[in-house]
Amino acid sequence: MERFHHPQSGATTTNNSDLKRGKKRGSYNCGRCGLPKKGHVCNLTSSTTNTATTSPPTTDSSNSARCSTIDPSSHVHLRRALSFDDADDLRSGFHSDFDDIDEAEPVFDYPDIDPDSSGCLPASCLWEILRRLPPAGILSAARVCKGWRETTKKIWRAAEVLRLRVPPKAPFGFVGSLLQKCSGLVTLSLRLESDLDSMMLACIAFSCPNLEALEITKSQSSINRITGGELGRFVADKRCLKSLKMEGCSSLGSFSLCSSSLSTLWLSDLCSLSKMAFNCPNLKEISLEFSRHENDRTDLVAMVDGMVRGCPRLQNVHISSFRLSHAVVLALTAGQLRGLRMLSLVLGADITDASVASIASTYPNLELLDLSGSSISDSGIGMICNVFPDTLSRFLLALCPNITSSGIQFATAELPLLELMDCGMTICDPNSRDSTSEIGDHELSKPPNSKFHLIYQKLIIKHNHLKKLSLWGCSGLDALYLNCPQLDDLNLNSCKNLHPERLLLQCPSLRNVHASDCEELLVGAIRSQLKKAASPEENLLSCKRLADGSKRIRVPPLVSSLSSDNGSKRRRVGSHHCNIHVC
Amino acid sequence: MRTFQLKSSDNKIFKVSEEIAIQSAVIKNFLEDFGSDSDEIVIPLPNVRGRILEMMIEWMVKHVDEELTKEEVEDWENKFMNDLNMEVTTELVMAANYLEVIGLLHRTCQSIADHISGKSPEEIRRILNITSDFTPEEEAEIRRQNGWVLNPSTN
Repeated sequence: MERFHHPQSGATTTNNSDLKRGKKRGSYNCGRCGLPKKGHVCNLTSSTTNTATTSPPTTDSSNSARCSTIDPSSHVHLRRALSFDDADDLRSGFHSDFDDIDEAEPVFDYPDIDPDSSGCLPASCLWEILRRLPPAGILSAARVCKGWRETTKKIWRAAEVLRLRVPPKAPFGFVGSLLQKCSGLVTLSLRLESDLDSMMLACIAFSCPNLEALEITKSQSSINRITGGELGRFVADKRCLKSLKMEGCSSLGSFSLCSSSLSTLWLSDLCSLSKMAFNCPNLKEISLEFSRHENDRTDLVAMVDGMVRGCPRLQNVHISSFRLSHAVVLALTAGQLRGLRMLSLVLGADITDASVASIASTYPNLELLDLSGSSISDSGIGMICNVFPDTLSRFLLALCPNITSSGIQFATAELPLLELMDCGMTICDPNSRDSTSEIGDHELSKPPNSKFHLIYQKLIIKHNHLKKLSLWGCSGLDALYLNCPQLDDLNLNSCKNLHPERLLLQCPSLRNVHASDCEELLVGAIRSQLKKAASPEENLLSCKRLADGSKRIRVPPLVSSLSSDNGSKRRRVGSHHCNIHVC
Repeated sequence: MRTFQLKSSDNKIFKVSEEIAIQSAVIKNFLEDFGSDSDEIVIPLPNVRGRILEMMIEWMVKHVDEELTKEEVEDWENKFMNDLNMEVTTELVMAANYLEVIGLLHRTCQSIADHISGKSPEEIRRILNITSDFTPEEEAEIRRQNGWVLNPSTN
């Protein structure tokens, strides 16, 4: 599930072939295979963990640098935490200005360098070598000789971006002693395997006067002890801070954030907040992920009310909580956030078509709408289609049990700008509903032979802009016809009942198809269709396969004759390779 | 295409074409400044010995060859780097730095960085043949500051 599309997440999500992996925090589906997380044990021993552990043996494991974009193919990047030049390596938009460093280089004075002691390497060469080392390597290099020590000091001082993994048994002061060397740091990203306490936060505040972006992620075992008061003070004191992202905020209790510089705020694992006050006039993006414990007692209505008052410039709002309700949506829409472009209210089973109506009437310019896990129905989709045909490009409806394939088809027919659509776990197989669904038991109380549920559904989508489509877990789907010239990524994980002969993919740009947990015959059908798509003499009009005449479905006008330019596009396909991911 | 001669510190002469040699920013500037018509320009390179210069030219020749694909050049680079010992690599770093052959400089620096990454200071000294100029007191002080980070055995 893609989060807000902005430089930060953009880099990761586009790199990741798997649509599902973009969402790291609080996702309700497995980050690796896209299956629903609840009660799911992933059988994919993730390649990410493998690379993360296998590649840094060259580095000292206690301090191996860690890069946030994990790309198995380039283990060089994994080890390089201090990045000066490769901007694409940086997940964030804040990158150090390599030119500056380069220009500054001749100005450096290296009085102490005795050619013999530094292995004959002139200082500028040494700089070139040492700046390629991970933090642990630089610390090690500082102890080689005096010349090297001087150069490492300059490297630390010039560092603007630091990504650091803090090991579980890091000695007291480990982060502090490192940060003290990096007075020019602008972006700090910490992966904590040890606990986060107020000491460390104070140390960051003290050591990095120019810090603009702070990201703290944590491992399962570590604890974030920061309280709301400490966080509030940190934010108020760091007057340059623009972006703050923190995981594991379960100890906050209550907080009051005042900052005129802050523009991005992501907090996750929030739990039972008694009071949340905001005074962030320049906040553009907020993401609040609440803990998924049943005992979360946060009063979301009051919180959202305070948020819309204190942050009038919000453009992107993401809230994930079981406690989201229609009342919360009303509090949000009452605030009249004029600039709102992306709205994501996830896991709110009490969000209904009425909520959709008030969203649609308040925010006419939404580009992204994520109502995953809500109770909206096809008529809610209808309202959305009426209001946002000229703006909406990303539409996410995963885990919405009340929508049907006709709603999805309607959305794709009526929203011409759509680029991403997630309909995961919407069209579920009635027979296996108990094992896969997250919907309450009341569904099970329906008569098992309810006709409505027993009918498999089919999906016909023709769309000119759609790039990513996810139908993961749509086990109630038995026929699929896609004519999407721009489609790049298709997720069919766990589409168990999709009939191989009722599948037709006319998607010449398709690069990734995810088909884990699908019938082998289906995988074969996908493979042969993609192969066929590459050959020009493909039968363009095989839509007859889909004719099983369900009357509920409004068939969009099928391109009865695919124009010749479509044919030429298809011919190009041969040059690019499509991956089918089956696990 | 003009050709001219590069003379190494041990007086070996290498004939190269302009197209190849201008990968070195220094030679490029030199040729622009002395843009004479004479074909018999000899550029003395007193900081580079013959063997190293030969390797540099080999590198530069490969990198103007338009018939090679990007992958082929990469494969060649990898093989080229693998055949080098640290001493020669260090010399190449300095020569590439001196003549400003940026691609070679980056590749060789990366190679050295890869070799010393994750190594203790003692190992780095041995790899690159460096003698420590720290006094025992200084050594102890640095160890006290960040010693724990770098002792793989203490993890």
